[in-house]
Amino acid sequence: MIKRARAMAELVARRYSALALLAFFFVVFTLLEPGIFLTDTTIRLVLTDRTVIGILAVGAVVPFAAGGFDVSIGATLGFGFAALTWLSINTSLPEPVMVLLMLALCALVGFINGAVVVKLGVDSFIATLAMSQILAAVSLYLSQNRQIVANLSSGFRNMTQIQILSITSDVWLLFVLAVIFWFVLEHTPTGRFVFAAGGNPTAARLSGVPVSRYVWGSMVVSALMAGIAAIVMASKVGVYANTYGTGQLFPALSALFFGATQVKGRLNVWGTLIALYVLAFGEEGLGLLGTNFTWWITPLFDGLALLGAVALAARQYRRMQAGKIAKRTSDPTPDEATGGGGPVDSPAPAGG
Amino acid sequence: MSNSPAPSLVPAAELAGATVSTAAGTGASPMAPALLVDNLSKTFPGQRALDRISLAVKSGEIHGLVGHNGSGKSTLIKILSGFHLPDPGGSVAVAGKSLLFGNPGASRLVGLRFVHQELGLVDSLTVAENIAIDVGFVVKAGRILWREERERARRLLEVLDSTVDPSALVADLGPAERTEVAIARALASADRPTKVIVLDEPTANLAGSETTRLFAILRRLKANGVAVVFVSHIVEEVLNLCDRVTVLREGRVVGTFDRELLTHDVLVNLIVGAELTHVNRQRADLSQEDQGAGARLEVQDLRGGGVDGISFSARSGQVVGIAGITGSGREDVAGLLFGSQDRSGQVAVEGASMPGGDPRKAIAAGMALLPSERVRRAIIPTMNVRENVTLPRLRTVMKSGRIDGRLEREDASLWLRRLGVRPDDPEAQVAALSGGNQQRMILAKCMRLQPAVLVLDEPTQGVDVGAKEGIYAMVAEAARGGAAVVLCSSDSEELAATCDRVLVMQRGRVTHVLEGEDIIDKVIDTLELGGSVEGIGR
Repeated sequence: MIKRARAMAELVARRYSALALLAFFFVVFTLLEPGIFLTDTTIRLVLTDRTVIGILAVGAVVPFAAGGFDVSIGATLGFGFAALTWLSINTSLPEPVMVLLMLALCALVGFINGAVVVKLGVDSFIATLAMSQILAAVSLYLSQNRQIVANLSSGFRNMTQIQILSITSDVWLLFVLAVIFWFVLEHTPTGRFVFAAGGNPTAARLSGVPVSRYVWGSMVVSALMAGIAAIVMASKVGVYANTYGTGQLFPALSALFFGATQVKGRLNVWGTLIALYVLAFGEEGLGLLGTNFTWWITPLFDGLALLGAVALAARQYRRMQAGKIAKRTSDPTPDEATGGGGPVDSPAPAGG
Repeated sequence: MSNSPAPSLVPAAELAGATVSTAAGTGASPMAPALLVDNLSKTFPGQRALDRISLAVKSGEIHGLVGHNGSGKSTLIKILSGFHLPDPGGSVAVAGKSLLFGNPGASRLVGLRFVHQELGLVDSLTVAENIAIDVGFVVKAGRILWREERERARRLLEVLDSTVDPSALVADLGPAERTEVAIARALASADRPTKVIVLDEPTANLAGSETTRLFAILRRLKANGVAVVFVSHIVEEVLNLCDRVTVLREGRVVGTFDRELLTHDVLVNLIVGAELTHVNRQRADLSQEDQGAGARLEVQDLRGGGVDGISFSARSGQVVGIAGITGSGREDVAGLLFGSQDRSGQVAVEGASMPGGDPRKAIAAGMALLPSERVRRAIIPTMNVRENVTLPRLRTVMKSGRIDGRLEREDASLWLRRLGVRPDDPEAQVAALSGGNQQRMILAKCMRLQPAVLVLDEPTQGVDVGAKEGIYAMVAEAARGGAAVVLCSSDSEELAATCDRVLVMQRGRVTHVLEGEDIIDKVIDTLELGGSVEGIGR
């Protein structure tokens, strides 16, 4: 019984530390802020507040899992918003066409990212960093560095306000996208190939995975998701400003990396969403404590939580490695004699 | 001692002993040898890698150090360079100063320097910087004097008669020039002048003319009084360059020999350890060989990498070995067959020509590859055992558009059990498996494809002796199951234990084909080194 309880506690510590942290927040903030924190208004507010970042983060799981680095998602979001705003003011296209056109432009951004990485052999971090700046320039040009009220219909403006089961439609959209991404990544060959490409591209290629095609495609997917995030943002905010895009990058990546320490021990969709909302509820609780430090507490909290989660995961990983090494024979193999100097093969004694 | 006119083979222990007594004794020869290794042993768990090694290298000589895989060459170099600690009792002295073991800095302090096969240069730095980071910067008032650095580099390169520009980036240099920089760096010293330079397989990355150039440089070093230890397994090069040669076999010194006493065949026999003048053999039945029809794998004029046109075929149930020293092209054969390396020529699986350049097509055509360098090329560490095993073919475990978890687990589990992977838990992390079991897991991944042709590249690299036997049994099992097996290996015992036919490669070509009772490890070793065995034709 005790053994099982300890195993459970260990599993929670290893795979669900974020949920434990969430429970802790709920208890502490409910006690500190009775009747304010734990209300359905607060919960709904927090849920809808993070949908744009959530869509970005879920989309980013794909290129990062494929071994790439995509830091252009924030700028792509901003660019998508700017493009949609520009189209709404300067053209008389029907709204669905404008939206599709904007999504196509975002997909093109991802396609170019992929081409630069795969065909020109540029490191994906550098390629997407450069793309961020180029997109920032395009967005500035389109907006002429002004805040612009998009000329969008009230239907478009209200579509994220629709409530289903008293939860707004943007939250449902995030949920549906997460289910799709989870299914593809965890239950189809496509997802398996993405993880293989990221885990060891050489081995993946020798196993028949077309690695470059998956790396390329993954960048299109994340850019397209940034476009979808732009639709949600345009609907919710309605006014374009230059600061919107890049501001979403860090919170999205925080959720992504924090999430990688959760549930599966590698990048995954549900871990990402759990991490996203743990951070959100933590910030909300802190914010409700007092109004005079809310504006700087958010990034500080984000940064500390990310560091804490990743450091914890790294410690567990080292422990696992240390445990494994202890089970092995201690001396190095004479490399010549075994023709390679690999690890010594020995049966692991029970209880090591 | 080497001046002795009598053409006798002097055991190194005696030779070294004699030198010690001379140096310490009468003073008839006041010069201590540049490098004196005395009674050096190294024991690894379950294995004696070096057994009372003694040898002496004189100043101003080029001394060859040769031996097959497992002879103890690398272990000796690693002790000299401070990477391994020897067993107590042995000693090493450099020009009379004894070496403190287990400390790379100590080797340098006594004037013992190394040029490893990988050279260890930093590509993104200049030649002068590469030399400076190794021996220390010339600093004045906290500032690096770059002009002095370049001047020092220029002087060192001048000793080698090298034209490399000290300001050039190492990344822009060719392989020969890089070797020159590495040697120049080994000459540089802040403390004791360099007495001995050990070069470990320095010609591995060089073309023919570059090798000639390197030899000229080494002869210059010799003329400058530096002792050069030249480690190689290319017999011609050793005979070309060296004044004396020490042969190691199975951790012991066979002897140190004057160059004049050696012929190609004598040296090969010393390395291999058997006087193979004639092999008593019965001709294998060649009538059923290479008839084309029924061959599961047919290879015509395969070229690419270090391979310069080889042809062979393999029938169902046959294990064909590819033998050759590193640099013979043997190491490229597996990748070329599988198509993961650019190739020309024809590869046909069961009569159907197979296009190169795409591992997916190779797998679809019925070929499976177990690559060398398991960790780098075969294992996906972020995925568990099940995901690793099923990766090349997922469609058989799919049901209504998704990977069926139960089907996949059962399938993976089945193959893990068949190949005897411990633990056979499909959900285990790959890192939790020992080296031998990781290799079995990769073999399970190959066998699950039920390949017509199974290509294995160094299948027992980095696994222990017990696990090796298990892997040989599984290779035999795969052949019995109807696969044609191609086994590329640098381990001749492995080839002798598993193969029905062995192709021996030299310089990109097949020089000998061994069959039946001719497949003997020492015969393979001899032929790999270019030696000849009477009764075995080309």
